[in-house]
Amino acid sequence: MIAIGRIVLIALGIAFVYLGAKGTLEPLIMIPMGVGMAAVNAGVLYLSATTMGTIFIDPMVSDPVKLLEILQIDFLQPIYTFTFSNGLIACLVFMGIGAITDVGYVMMAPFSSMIIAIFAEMGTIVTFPIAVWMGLTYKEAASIAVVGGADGPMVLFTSLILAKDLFVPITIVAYLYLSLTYGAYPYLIRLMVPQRFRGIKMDLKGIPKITPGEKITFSIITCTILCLLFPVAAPLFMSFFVGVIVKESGVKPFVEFLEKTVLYGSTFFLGLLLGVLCEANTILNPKVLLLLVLGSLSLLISGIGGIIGGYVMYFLTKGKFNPAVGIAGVSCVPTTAKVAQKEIQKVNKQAMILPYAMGANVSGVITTAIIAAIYVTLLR
Amino acid sequence: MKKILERKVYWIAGTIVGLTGVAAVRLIAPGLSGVMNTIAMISGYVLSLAGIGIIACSAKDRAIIMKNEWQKVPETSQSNGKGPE
Repeated sequence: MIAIGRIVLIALGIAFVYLGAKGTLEPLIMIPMGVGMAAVNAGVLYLSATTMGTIFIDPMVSDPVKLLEILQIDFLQPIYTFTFSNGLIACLVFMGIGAITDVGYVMMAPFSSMIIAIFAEMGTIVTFPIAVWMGLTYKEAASIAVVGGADGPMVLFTSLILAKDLFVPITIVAYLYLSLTYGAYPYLIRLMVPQRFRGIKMDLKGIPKITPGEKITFSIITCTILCLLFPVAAPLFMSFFVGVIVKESGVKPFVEFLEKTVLYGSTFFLGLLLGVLCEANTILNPKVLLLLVLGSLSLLISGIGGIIGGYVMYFLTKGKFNPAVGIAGVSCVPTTAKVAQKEIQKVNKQAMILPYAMGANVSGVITTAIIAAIYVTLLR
Repeated sequence: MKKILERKVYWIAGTIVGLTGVAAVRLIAPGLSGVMNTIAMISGYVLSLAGIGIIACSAKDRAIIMKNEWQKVPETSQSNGKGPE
């Protein structure tokens, strides 16, 4: 059975590389992940099916003496032990995301951004009781529910703390679906938002210009308050806001370091390690099918919630807000914002909503971090 | 001084509201039990997030003030590309 599982995973890895290179799936994650997946399963195909660990990595080793031994044998073990187990890789990705994020978009339309982001968390909240009802423990249910926030590093961070045994399948499910949002969310927009609503032009003249000083002050105060409120997620908040502040302070060497080396370096190793962790022994778990269903459900409900938030804003502004912006509340920065803009421009070429969509997008990152922090605080 | 305070009112109010919320969650709630604890916790979280919201509103408010000031300036100076002093 394990051998068949490994052959299937080799084929899946090759498919990921192909679809990533073609652009159907997110290439930044899927190419290294696919290569890792195919290589690890091929490498261990003729090894024992009963022992955990591979010639690449042993994710389940916890005994300090054995760990020290493995660190000198498995070549990817040092990266796994020193960046995955402690959540460093998620924080590094978050620093990079911070460095490419403009909080000015939230500050120019704070009310609409926050309303939409709160509605777009519907999936992370509603999926939790559904997952418990389907037989997952509270910790596992919370970890898979966070997929609805559409934030890869957040899912990794939460599942590493709450459901370490399932963090590999949960994170893979998350990244797999995140790369599919680009393909699936346009259909959801078309289904829920009729053409006449999608064509609504939004006011861009009243948008205030936010100074870097204001962005830095907002970021440092928000970071401090959030760290005081949710200490368990303080590393994530710190990582995100340090990226934002470095960007706004204009220290070019740091900005380039964070948005290129740190972001792309950590994304590459995240993809590669996730692929290598997809060894049949680790991933073939009866709960994986359940996770696949719940992950997609969570993202779907979040997308629906976001569009409902868009409609709420439409009614509050008496028809001046384009409801399709709501999808950007799902915080897959900047994919969902781009999806919204693309769909709207198909109907009305002059309609520009990207600043509002980015505001909802960045707010979504913050609200997802808050929800993840609440889960971790309550369930750890 | 009054003008500076007017322009910073959102920042100051937001920070005070946010930190009051933190105090409710971290200092007041642990000393209470039962329903009072839950009430203090929830109101603390809501206050903190409201504080962040108030701070976020500061820039929008500044833009509205600037827009009003801009409209007060005679048309000739606007056409010369000069904004409000």
